[in-house]
Amino acid sequence: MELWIGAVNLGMLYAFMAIGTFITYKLYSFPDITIDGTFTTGAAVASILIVNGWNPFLVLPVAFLVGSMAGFITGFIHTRFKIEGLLAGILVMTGLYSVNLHIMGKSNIPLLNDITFVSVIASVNPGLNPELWNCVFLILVILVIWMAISMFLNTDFGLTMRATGNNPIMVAAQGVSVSRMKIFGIALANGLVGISGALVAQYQGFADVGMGVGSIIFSLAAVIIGEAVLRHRSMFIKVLGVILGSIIFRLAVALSLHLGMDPNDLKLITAFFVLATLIASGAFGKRSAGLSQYLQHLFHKYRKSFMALCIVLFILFAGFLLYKSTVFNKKPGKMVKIGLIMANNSDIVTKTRDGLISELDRLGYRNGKNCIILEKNAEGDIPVNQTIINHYINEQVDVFVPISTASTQAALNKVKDKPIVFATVANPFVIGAGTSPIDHPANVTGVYGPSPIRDLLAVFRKMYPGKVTIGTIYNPAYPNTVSNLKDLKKALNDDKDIVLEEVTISGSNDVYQAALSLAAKRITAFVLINDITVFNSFESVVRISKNSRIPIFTCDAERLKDGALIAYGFEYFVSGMQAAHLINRIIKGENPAQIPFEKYKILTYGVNFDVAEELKIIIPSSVQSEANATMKKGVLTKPPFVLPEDKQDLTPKKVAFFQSGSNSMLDNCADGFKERIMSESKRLSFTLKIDNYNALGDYMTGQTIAKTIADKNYDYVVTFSTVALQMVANTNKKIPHVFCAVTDPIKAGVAKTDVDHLPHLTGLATPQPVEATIKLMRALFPKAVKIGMVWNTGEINSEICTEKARAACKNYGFKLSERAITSLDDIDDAINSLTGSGMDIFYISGDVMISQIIPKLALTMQKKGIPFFTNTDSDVNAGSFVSLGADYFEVGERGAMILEGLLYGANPRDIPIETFVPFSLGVNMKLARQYKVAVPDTLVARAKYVIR
Amino acid sequence: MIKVENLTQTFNTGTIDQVEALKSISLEIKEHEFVTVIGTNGSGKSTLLNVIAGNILPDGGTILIDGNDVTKKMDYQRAKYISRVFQNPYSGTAPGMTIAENLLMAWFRGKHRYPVSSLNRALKNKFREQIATLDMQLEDRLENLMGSLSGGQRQAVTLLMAVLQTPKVLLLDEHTAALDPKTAAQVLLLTKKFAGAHNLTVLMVTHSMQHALAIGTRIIMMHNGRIVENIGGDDKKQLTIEDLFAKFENIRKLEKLTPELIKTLRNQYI
Ligand SMILES: Nc1ncnc2c1ncn2[C@@H]1O[C@H](COP(=O)(O)OP(=O)(O)OP(=O)(O)O)[C@@H](O)[C@H]1O
Ligand SMILES: [Mg+2]
Repeated sequence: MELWIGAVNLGMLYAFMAIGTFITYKLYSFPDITIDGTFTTGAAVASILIVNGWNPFLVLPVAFLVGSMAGFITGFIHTRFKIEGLLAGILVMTGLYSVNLHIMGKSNIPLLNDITFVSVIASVNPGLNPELWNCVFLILVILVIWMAISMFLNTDFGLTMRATGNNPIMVAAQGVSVSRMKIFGIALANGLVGISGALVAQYQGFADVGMGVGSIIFSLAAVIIGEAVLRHRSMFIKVLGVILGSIIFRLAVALSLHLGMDPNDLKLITAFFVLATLIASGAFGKRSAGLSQYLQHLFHKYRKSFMALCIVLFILFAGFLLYKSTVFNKKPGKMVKIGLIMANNSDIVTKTRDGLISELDRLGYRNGKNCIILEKNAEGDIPVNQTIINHYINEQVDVFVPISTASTQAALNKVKDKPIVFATVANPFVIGAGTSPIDHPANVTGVYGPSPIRDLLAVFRKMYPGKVTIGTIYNPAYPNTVSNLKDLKKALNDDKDIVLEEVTISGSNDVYQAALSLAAKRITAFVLINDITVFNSFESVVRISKNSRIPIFTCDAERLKDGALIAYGFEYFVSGMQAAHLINRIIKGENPAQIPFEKYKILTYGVNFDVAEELKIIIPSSVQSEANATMKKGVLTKPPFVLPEDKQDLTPKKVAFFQSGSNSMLDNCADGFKERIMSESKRLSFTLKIDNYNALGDYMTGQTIAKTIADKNYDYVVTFSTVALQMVANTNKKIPHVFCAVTDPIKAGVAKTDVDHLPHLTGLATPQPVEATIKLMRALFPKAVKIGMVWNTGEINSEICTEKARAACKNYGFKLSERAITSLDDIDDAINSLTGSGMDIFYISGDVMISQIIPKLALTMQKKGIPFFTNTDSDVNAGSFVSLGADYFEVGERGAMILEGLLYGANPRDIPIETFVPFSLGVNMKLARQYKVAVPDTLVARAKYVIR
Repeated sequence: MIKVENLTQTFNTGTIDQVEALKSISLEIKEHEFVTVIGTNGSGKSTLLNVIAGNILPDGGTILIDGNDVTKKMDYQRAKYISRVFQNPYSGTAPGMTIAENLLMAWFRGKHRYPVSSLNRALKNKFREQIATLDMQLEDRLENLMGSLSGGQRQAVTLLMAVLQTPKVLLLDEHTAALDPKTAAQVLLLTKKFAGAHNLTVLMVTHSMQHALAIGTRIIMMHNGRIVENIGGDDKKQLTIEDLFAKFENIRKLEKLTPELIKTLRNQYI
């Protein structure tokens, strides 16, 4: 369903542009090509302003103004210098390309984390499907625009505009400046196109310098279809037709994709579709004339009330949104304040905090945007908890969120009239938070759970029956620890065959000694209750565990990877998630008194097979089969952190593979991925249902594919290339998403750092090894001075590589001589000017456009005797001298391992983005001899491609 | 009302196609005068009208309309004084718009147009009354597209549009030439009627000597970019077709016109 609604929405967004084209093409009879540039200009202006914190609605008039300025220039050139309209449009469009790049400052601006009209609308969504809600909003907007434009075209001024197109001689005789009328019309049209661009950029979540290409064709198609569907003299019907035309066009594109047509044929289908419409319009013109007549009649009859209704609705809605979006932005006083109090920096606390923050985020709480999240850490200093609470009271915090027992205690003491939601407290009842989960102070609720010590002992018993001694270490200063110890002893009461040796400590420095003393007592195992002091120095226990071959059993799930043999404990991350839900409920108006304390919902029962191997311990099969987490060969797999209510079943998984285009790099990457995942899925008996999508380099097709993927409820999505990543990241916010063949995910807007990325996606960053290539140049050509480089300003990747090359050239003592081009037409000039200025080495990197003509470039360079370096290993086959790149097949395989992890239940948010560049080299020895370069044998031996 | 002095206009200057269409023309037309212009093909009649209307900015000379120097003004800036009807019946109206909308365009001749809707019921009634005066059964077709009318009907509407807001000057360039004789007579009648009713100042080019004699207070004969005859007042009233031919004969003597040319002229004008 989303696919269709999405298509309708896109249709409405592009309708602004189609109306613009209607004005130029239908009223003035020339198709104004300026809009190919203006569309991007609108998007560029809007994005750059939004990134700088502008209100997403206020950028629309600005986009309109800037768009109309472009239109004004076209109109001025056309009328003042009597240059044909088509040509004037082409001139301005070409110029706008540079202007757009200047406005944006780079070729692509992501808006994923900014406030767009979509996010503002979403914030007032009463619970509809988001796409449907967008649709409701857009329908309202489009109704108003429809009204406004058609009413305008019926005013004295609008009529004069139409007459100008119809008969310029006549209007001039009636005292109208034809030039001014034309300029005005073209400016108005381009203003609308600018708005269209601004809206589309916000809707798709990024602006790209190439997004306007082909706009004129789409909007002409919309105008033509619209004319075929609704025929009437009335401007109201005509403009309505254009809007419908735009929607129908998008629906047709969606349909052809839905039917699984080859994207290759999409352009052809589009052409046929428009042609068929043109032909058919003659045939069904009459019938639709009847419909139009009827519409016109209806409309005429109820025009006034209809208009009034539309306008009132619009003003109400717009006012509300504008109000919302400003509140959203600027009035922190009205935002709910959530104050986190953390007792220390232990894993338990930070995990809880991370789970809480990420789940709050998932629930729509954005710090600084619609709420304020304060965080303070007492760093283990108990009285500081109190100070933090006081500070929060001053700050008028609305919800107090203490994490861990110490903080909770402080909060319980001080805060009586504001809600408290605690997290990760073993036993809240011992610190005065009531007597049972439902009998607690009226302002308090939270997430708790004593360590599952009995369960841990049960596992221990499966492995070590009979009379045994176990050892434990604890710091009696913490009430939590004491309560845990009490539980352990209580459990041991039922099992008299276990003897407990306990050692108390007063600080982390004592842990090693304590463990040593226990080892000396020949204990069978360390059974560690949760104690922050001990865990802070856990390595000491692990060292002794290894030396003395004494396994560690612990109640802390986090310790599994650190060297415990068995960990049976709660996932504190989930504790945080649960707390976030409680906070949400309270903010939404529930009374904490009515909310029972929740126990932790997810339990990890983990076995560390690496430790077992090292300590030569055999894990009984019953333990193996019951465990839900394992540590094997350094890889930790855990159950998914999904709260039980949204847990899914484990039936065949639908995976979408999306390639934005086909070239050796992307194809290799996809092949590596597929090969590996298919063989793994056989071995591990996953059932995968894979759908392959390829946009074949077409922007619009890519957009629709991204929609389709989000719509079809895939379990996983895998993208190859940066554009594919961006497109899917925009349409899909929930399906786990693995990306590969991306140079820089941070610049692509999906991450702030390796670990701070959009929670539903993760993947690999594979930058071109620019620095390594330049280092290699220096090694091979110690005397070379000047590197010539050509790059394409329209590709973000090309830009990144060039930036890196600049830095690397400085480091290795080269002079970099760059030529930036925007199309392949300029390449010859660029090369000539570079060779003219005397370069020693020619270099291109990470540029899709220029890499299309590598054979030609290679030939030129060979003729001139200039060594040619590139960043795709196989380029040597096309004639480059040395090509150092990544082996994308391997990148694909690595990506497949991430997907495996997800299939095992890992959460993408826990998997940092990995920078992965498996070097792969190609070298041409024939050229080496020609250039008299000694290529070391070791290097040749490592090369994947060698031309001899 | 109109005063032109030493108007000159040369086309394609410096090429072998160079034509001196107007050679220092001076002419004064008083208010309420109805001047007809005749002359041989290519004598510069249309050029004179175009220069007065501002379609062509002259090479030299000055043009005053109602005392205002408009020599440097663009055509659309002069439209507040001047109305025009063209020879081509398709030039004066917008075929893709309704009759009412076309009339609205003329209603605002020379004025600012604002984004408000003036075409209300009252104005339409006014238009209906006006169009009834054409006597062409167009009263109920205000909402029809202009393109659906015949050439004669369109020319009649154009004429109506020209006088909808009373102009200071009405320029008519062979506005009946493309019509069949019956319609032409009808349109000429309308021209006379409107000129009389609004007391207009008119400059009308025609190829019909009958027309030139039948209406107007003055007759101007052009030849080769010059005004060769200018007959007004009682002289005009007594003028006959034969007199006019005598004038042409004169030109023949002056310019050595061949008898063949005279013959073609005769065929053309009678
Ligand atoms: N735009 C132009 N470019 C070049 N020459 C022109 C232009 N307009 C008129 N001429 C020339 O100027 C001369 C006068 O033309 P004009 O149209 O004024 O004659 P006319 O008296 O209206 O003739 P007709 O009776 O055929 O309409 C002609 O020789 C014509 O070829
Ligand atoms: Mg003429």
